[in-house]
Amino acid sequence: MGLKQRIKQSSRAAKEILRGGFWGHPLVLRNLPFAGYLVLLSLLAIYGAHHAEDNVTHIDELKVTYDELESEYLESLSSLMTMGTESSVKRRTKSLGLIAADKAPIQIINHE
Amino acid sequence: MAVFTAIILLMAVGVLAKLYHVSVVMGPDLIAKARERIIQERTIEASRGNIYSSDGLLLATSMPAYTIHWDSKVVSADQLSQGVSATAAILAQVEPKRNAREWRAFLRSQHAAKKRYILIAKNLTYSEYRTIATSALFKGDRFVTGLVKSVKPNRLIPLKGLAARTIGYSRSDAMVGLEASFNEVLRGHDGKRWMQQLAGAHWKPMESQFTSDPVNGSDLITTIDTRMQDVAHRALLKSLRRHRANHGCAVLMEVKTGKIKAIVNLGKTEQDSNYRELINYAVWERTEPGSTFKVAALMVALEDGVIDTATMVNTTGGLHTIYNKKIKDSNWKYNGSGGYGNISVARALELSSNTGIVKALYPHYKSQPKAFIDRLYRMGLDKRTDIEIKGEQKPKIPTTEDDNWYGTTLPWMMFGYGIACTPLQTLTFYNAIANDGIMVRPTLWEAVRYRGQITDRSDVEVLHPSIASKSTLKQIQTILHHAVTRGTGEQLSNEEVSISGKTGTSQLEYWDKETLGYQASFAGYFPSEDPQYACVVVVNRPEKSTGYYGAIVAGPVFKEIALAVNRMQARQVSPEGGYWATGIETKAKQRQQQETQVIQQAEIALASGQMPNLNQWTAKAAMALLESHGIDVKLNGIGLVKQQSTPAGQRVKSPIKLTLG
Repeated sequence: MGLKQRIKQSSRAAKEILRGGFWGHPLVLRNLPFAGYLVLLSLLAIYGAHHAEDNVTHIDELKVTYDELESEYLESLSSLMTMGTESSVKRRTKSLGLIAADKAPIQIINHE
Repeated sequence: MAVFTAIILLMAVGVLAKLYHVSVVMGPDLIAKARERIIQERTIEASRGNIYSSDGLLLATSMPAYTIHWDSKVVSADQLSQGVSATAAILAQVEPKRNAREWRAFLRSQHAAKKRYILIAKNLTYSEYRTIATSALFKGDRFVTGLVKSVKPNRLIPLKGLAARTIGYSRSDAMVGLEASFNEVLRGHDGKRWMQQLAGAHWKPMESQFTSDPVNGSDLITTIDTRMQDVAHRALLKSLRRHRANHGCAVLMEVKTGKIKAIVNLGKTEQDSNYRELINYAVWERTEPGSTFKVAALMVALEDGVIDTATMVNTTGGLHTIYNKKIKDSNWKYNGSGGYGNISVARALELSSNTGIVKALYPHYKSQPKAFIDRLYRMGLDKRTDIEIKGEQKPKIPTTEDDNWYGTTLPWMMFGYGIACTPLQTLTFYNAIANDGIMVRPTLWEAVRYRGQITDRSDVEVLHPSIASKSTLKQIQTILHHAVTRGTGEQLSNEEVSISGKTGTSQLEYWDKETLGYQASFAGYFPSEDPQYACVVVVNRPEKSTGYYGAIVAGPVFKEIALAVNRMQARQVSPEGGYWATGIETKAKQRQQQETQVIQQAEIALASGQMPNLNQWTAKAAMALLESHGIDVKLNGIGLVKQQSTPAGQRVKSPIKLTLG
């Protein structure tokens, strides 16, 4: 085969590739569903990676919210505990005329 | 077309060539850099455990602390002038180191100088942070307001101030209290994990065989009872304020177990002269105890059998001289009319007579001081209690081999000078007397809990099985009871709870008139007939004009604690002739049946959409009933239900307004 003919053959092959003629090749056509399946898997993998990143961001946001809510809860708990001490209750109920019992409570025990 | 194709082809080749260069030639370097910056092995911090009281309340927990900075360059001049006044007013409330005017000037000057990352406030609680972050100048996105927050873990003591020093803190630079002693238990272990950085400084965990999960810290359950702690705190604070004292402490201990139910340490602050938990005086401060030590001295003599409680002694006008040094009683007078006359040694202790104790005991040990000292050692008074809190000093009991052992050392020891011990050591000794001679170690922890399961529990630890014979203890117990009913502690005597104990008034820095001060104390236990609690109260440097004797300064604190604690204990009674004889059960049953009937009728009415009669119901019961039927309730006032917005028998209309009264 002469050089001229080889160049001609190569340029035909290149044209064929650029024209996309190979898509009609029986081998390609036969494997097209599998290729589609691979593409679907790739898309799923990309979606999964993005979803995971979204989840990480969402978890971080939730953590901040959780910390803030926990802080609010602990501050409220702290106030409640301080208000619930006997001395505080005594002080706050003084105006209502309530006073602490000056005797120990009595517990009746049944020995029968 | 062919030319265009060729160009595309060339570009594709170029891309492939670059791809090859980046991945193969530059690849290893880039991967290494990426690993350093984007993929890191990061520490996952373990959560520190909580500290709880024995009655289940939270004493210490972790919560975020907020620090805020401001980038003034982000804010326009208009924004600043509109919001600066309102924000300055809020900052002055939250961070009062500057007033509103000063804050306004500060913010303006920083803005004019175009300063960035200016510290506004640190260690804020969440609500404080929110108050600032929602103020006029800082409201909105950080890219608009320039407000930058950073968060770090912090410890919160919910019951502000109560037992704060004993609970302590754990910082990188210092650790004190239970936080320090139980750090290993509380801190847990951090984990490690490879993570990949995402956009916005988020980190995504990566699968790796080198991952170690964090192990959170365990919870510590202390022996502290918050009700008793509160009572002791208020009682001591009241006395410190009344007597304008420098500092003081009060410790309450369970006799049989050594569990410390309350420990208060209050010292006057230099800044505002208020009293706060500054130092653990009860554990750390070693002073000459004064008269509370006379009990130990008398126990030594009784144990050695050199005297008995009926031995008579002449208090010689309240003055006795040894080696030209004077020992005086508190009622000593220049004219010689002081003293208590001829009294028994038991009475001398009840009246806290220095001369009486020394004159009764000293002659028997003058020639054999070592016998006295050795007996003190054998009673375990030379040992630390080794409580969990760090910093306890060893008791100081002189020995005859000491360089500074003088002729006066022994007689002065007999009324509590020359020796030194901490309030907790004094308490441990008195607790042993209350516990029929068994000296138990004081303890502050009850259990360790991990994920709701108890993993470790403290046991009663006996330091000394018997500090003295039963007969000596019986005699001392009687004298301590008499010291309150008819001795120096008479002010503590009351009808509710029988108290046994001893007053103490010792001089501090008595070698210098300029610095001379007093220490008032009271150590004892209650109830005398079946001791449940031992307690010590020590008040340092009360102002002399307000009174400085143990009975006046420390005694009332002890009494207030004893009365309050006694009221917390239910008195169990078993009616004569049996429980049924009282008719209480029958009445209670009848009442319960009536109540059940009323609730059932109300339930039936609500089920058919009708409003029941809630007159004289408690607000809690009425709310529970209505809300269980999906009806909103609005309350007004205090007490029992007096009026209801929808009358009984009518159709229910949510919300229901209940007026209490």
